[in-house]
Amino acid sequence: MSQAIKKEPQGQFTNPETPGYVGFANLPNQVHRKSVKKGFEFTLMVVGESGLGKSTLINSLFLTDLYPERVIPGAAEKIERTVQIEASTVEIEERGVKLRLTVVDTPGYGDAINSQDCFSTIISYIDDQFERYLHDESGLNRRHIVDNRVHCCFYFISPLGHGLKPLDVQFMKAIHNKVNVVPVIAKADTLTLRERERLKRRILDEIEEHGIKIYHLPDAESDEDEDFKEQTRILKASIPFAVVGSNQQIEAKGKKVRGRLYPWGVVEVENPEHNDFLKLRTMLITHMQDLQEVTQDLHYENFRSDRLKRGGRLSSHGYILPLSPVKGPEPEDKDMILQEKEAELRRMQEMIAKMQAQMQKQGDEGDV
Amino acid sequence: IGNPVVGCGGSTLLGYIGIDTIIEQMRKKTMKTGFEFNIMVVGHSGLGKSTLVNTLFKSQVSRKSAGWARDEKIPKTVEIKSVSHVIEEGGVKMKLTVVDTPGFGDQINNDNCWEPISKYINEQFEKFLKEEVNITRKKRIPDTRVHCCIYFISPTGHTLRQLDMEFMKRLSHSVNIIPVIAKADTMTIEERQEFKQRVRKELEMSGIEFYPQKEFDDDMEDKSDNDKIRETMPFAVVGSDKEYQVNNKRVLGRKTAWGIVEVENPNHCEFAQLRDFLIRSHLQDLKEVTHNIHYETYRAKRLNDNGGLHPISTNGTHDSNL
Repeated sequence: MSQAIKKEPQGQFTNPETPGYVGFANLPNQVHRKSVKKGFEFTLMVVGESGLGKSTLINSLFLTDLYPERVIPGAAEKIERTVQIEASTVEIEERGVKLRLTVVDTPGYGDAINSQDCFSTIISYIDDQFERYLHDESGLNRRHIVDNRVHCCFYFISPLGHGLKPLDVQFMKAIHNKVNVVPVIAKADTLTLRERERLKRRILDEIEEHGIKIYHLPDAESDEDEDFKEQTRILKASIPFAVVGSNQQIEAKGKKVRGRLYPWGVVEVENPEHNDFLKLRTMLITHMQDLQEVTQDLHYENFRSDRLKRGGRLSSHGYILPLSPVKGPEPEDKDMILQEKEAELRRMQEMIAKMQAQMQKQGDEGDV
Repeated sequence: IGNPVVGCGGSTLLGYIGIDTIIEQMRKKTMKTGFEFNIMVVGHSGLGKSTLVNTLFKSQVSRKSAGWARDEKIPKTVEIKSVSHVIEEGGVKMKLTVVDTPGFGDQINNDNCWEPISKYINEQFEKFLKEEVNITRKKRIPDTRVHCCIYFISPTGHTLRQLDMEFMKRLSHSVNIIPVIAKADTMTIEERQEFKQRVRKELEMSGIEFYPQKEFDDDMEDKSDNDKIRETMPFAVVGSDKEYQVNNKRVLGRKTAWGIVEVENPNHCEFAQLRDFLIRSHLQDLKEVTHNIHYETYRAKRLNDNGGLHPISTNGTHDSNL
C-alpha cells in the first residue's frame, strides 16, 4: 500500500485510519501507473476528399508534422489512382505519458470522376486490422498483441455544400458498424456563424434521416464535478465540430497565435469563438480511452461474432477459416448448428492440447 | 455622349461630313433593340454560383432568387434550368438569361455528367442555325446561344479535380469558358496565388484554352490587355447579397467573427475584376467570339456532316436530320 498518493481516491475508505480501510481504493492509481509505463496506442483514420485540410488538421491537433516529404499530385497524375491507405506512426510523449499514435490517411478518396467503389479499400483495411487482432487474440503468445485496430475515424465534410453529399452518406453507412465515426466540418473559416449553425443542423438532420450511427459522447457520470459535466454538455451540443487547422504563427492583438492570416482579419485556431478546434481536441483527448473501449466492446465484438458465426476451424496458425465459401445465411436447423459448434469445440480443444504439448517441449527456450 | 465632333480637320476632308455620327446612330439603335446575353454557370453544388450571378448583376437573376429554400435536394441527374430577366441600366435594356446546371458533379458517379450541358449548348447552336438557314428569316434571330460559361473551381488549395479537367477539355471548343475560383475567402492570399499558378500550369499542360483565347486576340493592343487578364485568371471570387457598414460605407460582404470580407474590395478578392472584365469590357467580345468562332465551327461541322443543310420551306418540311 503506497502512501505517497497525490490524487485523492474517491470513496468512503479514503482515510487509512478509518476502520475497515483495506486499500484497494488505490487500485486505480496502480492501473494508472502501469498504463503510463506501458504507454497508449491509438489509431486514428482520416477520410475525406482532397483539399479539405485533413493533413493540416492532424498536424495542428498533435502539434507535429506527420507529412514532412509530402508531394501533392496534379489532376492529370491522379487519373489512374485508386484509394491508397497510408499509415504514419508517431510517438508522442507528454509529461511522462507515451502515446503511440498511428494516423491512417486515405488519399484518393472521392477524387475520381466515378467514386462508386472508392471505399472498398478502406473497409478492407478496417476488417484486416480486426482479422489480425482476432488472430493474435486466438493465438499462442498473447503477451505482445499489437492493437492496430482503427479506434476512431474523422470523416471530413466539405463546408461548401448544403449538407451531406451522396458519397458522405454512403460511406458513413458502410463503416458506422465497424468504427467510431466522428464527422468534422472542415475549413470552417469559409462559413459565417449563421451558415455554420445551419450546416450543422442540416448535417445532423441528414444523419438521423439516413440512420447513420456516429460516435456518441458518453454522458458525464453523476459523480463528476460540475465543470466536467458542463464541458461534456457543450461538447455534445457542438457536434459536428467545425474546425480550422493551422500551424503557422501569426501576430494578432500583440501576441503570437496559431492561425490563418487574411486581409480582413486573423482566424485563430485556438479561439473557441472562431471554430471548434479546441473542442475537437478536448473530445479526442478526454475520450481516447472510451473510443478504444467502444472499438473493443462494440465494433470488434460485432466483427468477431460475425466471423465466428460464419463457421470454420482454427488453422494451425490460429486463423479461423470459413467452412464454406462465402455463402453467408445460417442453416435453419438449430441442431445442425449445435453439432457444428460442438465439432468446432472439439477441434479447438485438440489444437490447444497439441499446442500445449509443443510448449512443454520448448519449455526452457524462454519467451520469444 | 453624342457630341458631334466639330471640325476634324483631316487633310483629306474639306469639311465636316458627319460620318462619325454613325457611332451615335448605332448606339441609339442598340439601345432601342436591347441586348441579349446568355450566361451559363457550372460547378458542383454549394460553390456559390447563384449568389455570384446575383452579385454580378446586382439583381436577383439566378435560378435561386430572393427567398429560395436552401434545403433543396440534389437532383439525381444534371438538369439544365434557365431563367431570363430584363434588366435596365442607363437606358440600355439587357435580356439576361442565366442557365444553371444543378446536379453537375454532385453524384457519386459523375461519368459523362457534362453531356447534358454539351447537348444544351449544341441545341442552341442548332436552333440558331435552323433560323439562319430558313427561306423567310426573322428580322432578328432570337439568340439563345450560350455566350459565356463560368466554371466554378472548388477552392481546395491543391489542384484541379479530374472532373474540372474533363469538363473544360471537352467544352472549351464549343463555348467561352471563364474559370473562377469559388468561395475564395477559404484561402489566404499566399495560398490563392500558389493555387492559381498550379491551376494555370495544369490548364496549359493539358492544352485547355479558356476565354480570352490567345488565338483570337485581334491586335497588339488586345493581346497586351488580354495577357494581363490571362495572368490573373482564374479570378478568385466571393459573392454576397448582404450589406454591411464598413468605414461609413455600405458594402456587400460576408461577416465573420474575425472580420468582414468585402466583395468589391480588390484587396480581399477579385470579384470587381471579374465583373469589370465580364460586363464592362468584354461583354460584346464574348458574344462576337461565340458568333464568329464557336457558332461557325458548329455550322461548318453540320454542313460538312450532312452534305449541306437544306433550307426549310415555310410549311416546315426539312430534309436531313442528325
